Amino acid sequence: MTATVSRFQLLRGEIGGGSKAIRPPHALTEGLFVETCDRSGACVRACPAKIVTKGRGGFPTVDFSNGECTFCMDCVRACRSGALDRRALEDEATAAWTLKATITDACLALRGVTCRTCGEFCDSSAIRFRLVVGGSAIPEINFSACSGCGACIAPCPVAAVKPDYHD
Amino acid sequence: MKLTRRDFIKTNAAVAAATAAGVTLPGINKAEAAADGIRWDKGVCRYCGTGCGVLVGTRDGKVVASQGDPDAPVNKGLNCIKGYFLPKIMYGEDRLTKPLLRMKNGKFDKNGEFAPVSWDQAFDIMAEKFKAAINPEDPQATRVGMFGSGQWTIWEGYAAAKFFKAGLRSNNIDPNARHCMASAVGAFMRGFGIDEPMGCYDDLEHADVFVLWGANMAEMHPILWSRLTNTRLTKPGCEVHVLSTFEHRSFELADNGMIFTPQSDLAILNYIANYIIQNKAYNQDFIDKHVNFNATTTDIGYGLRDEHPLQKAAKNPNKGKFNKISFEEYAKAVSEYTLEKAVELSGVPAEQLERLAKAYADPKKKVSSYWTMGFNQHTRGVWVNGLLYNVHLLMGKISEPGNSPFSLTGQPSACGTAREVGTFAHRLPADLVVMNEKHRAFAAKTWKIPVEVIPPKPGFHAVLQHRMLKDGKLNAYWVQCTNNMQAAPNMNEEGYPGYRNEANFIVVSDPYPTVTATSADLILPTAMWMEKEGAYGNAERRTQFWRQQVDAPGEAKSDIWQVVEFSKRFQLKDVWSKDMIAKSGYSADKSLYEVLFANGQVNKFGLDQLQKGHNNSESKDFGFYLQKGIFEEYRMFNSAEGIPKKGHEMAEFEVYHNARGLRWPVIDGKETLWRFREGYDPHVKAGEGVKFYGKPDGKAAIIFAPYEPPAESPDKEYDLWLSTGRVLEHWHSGSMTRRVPELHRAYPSAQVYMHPDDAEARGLKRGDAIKISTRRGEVLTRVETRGRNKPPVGLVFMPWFDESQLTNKLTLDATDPLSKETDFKKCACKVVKA
Repeated sequence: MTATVSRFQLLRGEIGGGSKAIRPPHALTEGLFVETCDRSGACVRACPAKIVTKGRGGFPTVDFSNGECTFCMDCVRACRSGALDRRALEDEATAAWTLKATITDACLALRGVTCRTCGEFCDSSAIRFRLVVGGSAIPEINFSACSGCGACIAPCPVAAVKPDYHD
Repeated sequence: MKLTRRDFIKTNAAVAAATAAGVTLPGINKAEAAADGIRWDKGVCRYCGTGCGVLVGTRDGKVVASQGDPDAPVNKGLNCIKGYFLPKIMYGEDRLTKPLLRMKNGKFDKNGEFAPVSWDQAFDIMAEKFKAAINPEDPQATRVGMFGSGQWTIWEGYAAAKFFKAGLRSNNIDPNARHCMASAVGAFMRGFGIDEPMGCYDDLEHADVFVLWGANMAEMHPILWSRLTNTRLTKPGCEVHVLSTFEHRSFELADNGMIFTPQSDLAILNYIANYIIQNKAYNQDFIDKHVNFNATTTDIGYGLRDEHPLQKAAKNPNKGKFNKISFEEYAKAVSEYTLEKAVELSGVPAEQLERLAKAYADPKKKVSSYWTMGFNQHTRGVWVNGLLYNVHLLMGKISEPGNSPFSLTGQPSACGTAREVGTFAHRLPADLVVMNEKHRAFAAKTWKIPVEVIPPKPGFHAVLQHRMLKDGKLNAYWVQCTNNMQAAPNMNEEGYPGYRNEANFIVVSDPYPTVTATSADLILPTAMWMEKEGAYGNAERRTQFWRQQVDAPGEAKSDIWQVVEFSKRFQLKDVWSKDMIAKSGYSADKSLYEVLFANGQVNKFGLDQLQKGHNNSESKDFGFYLQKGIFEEYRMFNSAEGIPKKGHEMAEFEVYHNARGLRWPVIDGKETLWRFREGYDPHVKAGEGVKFYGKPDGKAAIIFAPYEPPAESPDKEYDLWLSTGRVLEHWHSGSMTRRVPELHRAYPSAQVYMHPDDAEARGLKRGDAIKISTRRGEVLTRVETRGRNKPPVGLVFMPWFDESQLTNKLTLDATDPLSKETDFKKCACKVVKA
């Protein structure tokens, strides 16, 4: 796996890709995106869910603490620079991104607390809770079903669900 | 609250590490106190009837952390999401810290705005209104009442019940457990003559078969569900049957999940009894020795107002009498309930019902049955509880490890307080009742008052209280520790008009400005949970104590302080007749405080006995160890020589502060896990085997009851069943859990769960705004067609925790005519796009 590092991350020495910004759906690869995006804010204004926000350097980033992506494509339609790939408007089969939800060790269910919050918010049933010996139910993510919509992220009571690029 | 998430996780991690190393609580106490200034002590969860032990961490006068107690036998360190965030319930931004009175121009006015007043002013107006509603010479003309709680601590319930029954001479005190457990109580008393389950949570590890009847344990009793799940996954041959009127999360573990038509549980249970008899599977020896057969009076109405057409149509409204019959007569009565009939009434496929019946009828399989509100909130709740006992009794599958019909409870002390200390309108402490002359005499002697003081007639029960408020026949009314405006049925037609009736003065004690509090005339700010020394009794008869960990904010005072302090406002001449005062030998000027609490018993223990390092606000105010005095006086009802009813024995006060709870009867310091069986229960003598000693003849009563239809069913206009209930993330009316930001985020608003076909037929998409209505009211909400609850076509489910969507504007105040408990699970509604 090769991590794409943005100009900003490079300047800041963030070359591990760990704190990589999340771009709107159908964004070009990070290097191209940063070169192409004109930072007009058109996608930020277009997003009805208000999850596309102005990030570092004025580049749009997705903040799931505000809500989830419904893949309405308004941001893509609004983009004039081509940093968000308009070809996706014609081809519905194109994946919006390689983003997937990941459950970290902070998860309450992994620590003996009955909590099913993320699963309740997952419309694609990608998060399933499996009953295990010991009596609790632990979350498992089916990555092929996960759309990366981020609906599970904000409701988590202990912020244990993180978005993560799978590329 | 100033605790950061980082602090919280850090401290919890420290505890987890310590427990992994096998360090017990005292070790943690010292280690943690030294390390970061946090003092850890044992406590009990504030929410449901499971009674999980929690460790409570306090620093700088605040509860900063909590954790499932690894040494607690109930939960063994486990916790649910609500329990995880427990400390935050005390630190909501809108905690009440001063009494608030509706005022205009500096004076009380029923239509005024709430303004802060002193405690003195609050008690002044309250005493004036209560005294105006009391006639010392004629108790029939006394119009005072109280609504209490299965969340009261044991001593709070005892003090309030004593204040009303022995002080104000009114039995118009009832707890919210009436909405919750009254049907279970009714069936215990009819079947066994003594309240509460014979088994205990240990059955969760002993049973081969689990059956859930109207209980969604996965969400409502998650810790017990964890124990059940563990048994199902580890024990070969173990199976789980789940019955409900809609599919819910407990179906995930079901080997046999059954959706039945509402009310048909009555028919299914009679079918199982019939199956057992037809196949001669019953335990003849057990039946011969330990059981007698009866049939109950039928066509008993629906507990509605007397003038309601359904009440008028009933042949025997409110009649609970049952008569002895022979085994043959019983067999004939249930023979009508064939498999075909059960299938027809319930809609459950025949092979599934048969599989269930076989599990009960197999002598080699240990069966534990669990139920909660599906059985209890039922217009035939007492009957349906009893029909399940019938099945267990026919097989002798009772009172031994793994064979257990078990009534789960919804509140932390529905058992310990509401039921055990006598806060019901017909009860006295330790299963005694006001209707029984001997019981009244014993209570009066124990309380050192003339027997005439205690009225012999039961007072107004929960639903009747709202009706009487509306009718102006209950004029001074005090609500503590419950949010009954939101919780009680038919709010539009009964509850709200009752509170706002000009003739009435309503007082509500609560930590927060709930729907109930803001509907009142006077709000008293209340200390909660760890702000007072407390005791709860859970569903398995386990009595658990905790010490005061922090002080309450501002001028907030605990419920018991409020009752005891308010009792100082009454002199005997205000409340008792001249004859009674003369007979008592007390001076007419003596206060109720002196007669009831400073009576040489309750004030017997000095402040020197308080635990060092812990405050005890009430005891310091009154000058004696109040909680200990109350508990020890209560023990005179359950443990002293010559008590009228044996079987509720408890240990001395201090024992509980040093234990993770004990299950009564506690005899010679030893708790009882399974009652009524030799070898487990010291009340059963050698050679007796099994003895149901709550009954004079030592035999349990099998009571036949038929299927009778529900009070209100869907019709052309109101074409859907409405069932109401809870969700995992919120507890009851949400007055605590909705103030925890994490829980609010996890489940922000109530919604109506509906089958996708029903939604489509109404032109609804998932998430659409809808109007749900019944003949009594309407609520705006949203429709949910996916998620944890999957109702069948024709039924919707709506949780009631959300104060912005008052579900009980919709419900019908039909009750079980015997238990007076509301059926919150069945009424007719319609849903349209909003």
